[in-house]
Amino acid sequence: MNRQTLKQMVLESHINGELNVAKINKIVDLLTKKELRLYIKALKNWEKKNKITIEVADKTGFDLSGFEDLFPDKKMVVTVDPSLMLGLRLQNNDDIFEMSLKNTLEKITEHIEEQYD
Amino acid sequence: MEILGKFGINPVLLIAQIVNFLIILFIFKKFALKPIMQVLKNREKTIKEGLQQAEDARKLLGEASEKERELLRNAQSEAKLLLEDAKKHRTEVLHDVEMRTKEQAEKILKEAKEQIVIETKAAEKRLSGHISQLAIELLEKSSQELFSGKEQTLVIDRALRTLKKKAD
Repeated sequence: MNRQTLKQMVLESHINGELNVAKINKIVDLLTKKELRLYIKALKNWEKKNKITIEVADKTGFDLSGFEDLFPDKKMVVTVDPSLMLGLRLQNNDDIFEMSLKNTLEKITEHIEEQYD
Repeated sequence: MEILGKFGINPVLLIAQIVNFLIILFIFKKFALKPIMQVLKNREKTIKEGLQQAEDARKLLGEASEKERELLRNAQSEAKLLLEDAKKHRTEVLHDVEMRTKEQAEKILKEAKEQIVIETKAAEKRLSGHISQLAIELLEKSSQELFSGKEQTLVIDRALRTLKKKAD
């Protein structure tokens, strides 16, 4: 199984950017154990590359359109994390961008602790 | 003869007595005087030797006494020197011990002070961390009441602007 085939299988596993369980089951039945491992890894990588996770402190009134304009080709997943208190945490592939009150407070705490070192 | 007779002296008897005396003198000189003289000489020699030995002993005793006195003087002198040396050494040792004890005490004091500073800093750090954590927890619990949707929107808009700037 070459890289091209693997990419094709991953693309075939999606319908409108969403994973399709029926299609995945069909593909899995045709694969050996080793191929299955490669396929799962490729699916995870695809998800990682094509998905943006946004954690917000409060979903009320949250407008996703600005982020969709910024990352037009990526799928958005929004979750709520009240511990952020205010603001958001955004994960794009391996990059994490955070602008939250929790993060600010943690930075202040770290700065205070550094004063004692 | 008659005159001798008038004095009651018998000449025959006198001559006999003189002969007897000479005989006895001869016998005495022949047999008794020599051993007696020998004994006396021996005795004199023994006494002289005894006296000489006594004199020698007296001299030896004098010399021994002098030596003893000399030794005693030397011993006293050495003892005095030793005592002075010991006193000096004791003073030096005491001074040295005192200095070392003082240095040790200062070192311990310095270390204790440093330790106190370190521990105080560590305690302050722990306390500061604890207070910060408590403050964060408190804010977490009351954040929904403290911040309205307007503030949330403001922060998210700001985050979006920052991201756009990064993308450009």
